[in-house]
Amino acid sequence: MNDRQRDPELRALFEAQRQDDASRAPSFAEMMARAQAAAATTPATQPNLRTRRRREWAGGLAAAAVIAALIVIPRVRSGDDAFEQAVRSFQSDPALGAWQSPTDGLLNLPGDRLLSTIPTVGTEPQ
Amino acid sequence: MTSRELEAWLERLHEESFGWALSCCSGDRPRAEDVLQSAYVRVIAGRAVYGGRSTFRTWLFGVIRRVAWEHHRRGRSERQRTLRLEHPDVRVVADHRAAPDAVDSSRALGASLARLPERQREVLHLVFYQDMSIAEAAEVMEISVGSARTHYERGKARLRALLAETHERPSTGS
Repeated sequence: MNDRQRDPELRALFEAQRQDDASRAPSFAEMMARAQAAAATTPATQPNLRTRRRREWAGGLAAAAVIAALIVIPRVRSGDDAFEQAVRSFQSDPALGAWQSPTDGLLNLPGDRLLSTIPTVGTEPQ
Repeated sequence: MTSRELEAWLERLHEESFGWALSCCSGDRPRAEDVLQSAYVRVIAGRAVYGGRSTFRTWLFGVIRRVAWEHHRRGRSERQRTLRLEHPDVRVVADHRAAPDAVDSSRALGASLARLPERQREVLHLVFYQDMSIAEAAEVMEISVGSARTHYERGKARLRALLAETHERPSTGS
């Protein structure tokens, strides 16, 4: 026994309701005439609900992507720019690119040239 | 499918479609007529296109159901806005129908169906009124067959209980 054959008492109730509704159904011709008049005034290109929702989602995602790009790209670019600038300055003058400690001067002791040069006979030390 | 064939199909299914629209609108006849007309507009204007993946009737019922849902949603938001404008403190409560007060079987069935959850009401209508299989009903309702069967069994049990309650309760006039 399939679904259609079961529950004859419920089926009889629904059948009574079906006949009742059918007797009160509006005229198809009138309804179709009104529908055709409405369809003529409705733009044919108007998208249906599903298409509209898809477009809304796509638009939202695109906007989110643009915002994320605007936030992320300047940060990346600023890091790259600083690096490129350091490379350029090093290429033009290695001394500018070399790192120097602010305490390098403390290592310069009085007379340290005597330690770093080899004395020669017959000349006075400078 | 040509427009003439389309109209022929719509005419052939008109009474069934109206019955389905009535069910989707909880028996509200003027709203069901609006819904059915909007569905026809959508079909003949090409905004709902039959792809041939199911039977024409199943597809058309799906369109009617979607249009009814949109009307319901739009109508509900408008009603809530009106209520708030008229009575700022009013709370919007669910629209429960009155208990059936007539022994007339068709009215008792309508009143009992109105007290069922939407999905149960839909699947019972499609199977018993429209003579669809549960698989076809599931397709119209855009749910799985298993889910439709669950709604069907629960709905049947609940409907029987409500009908029995209606018959046991003495008529309260009107």
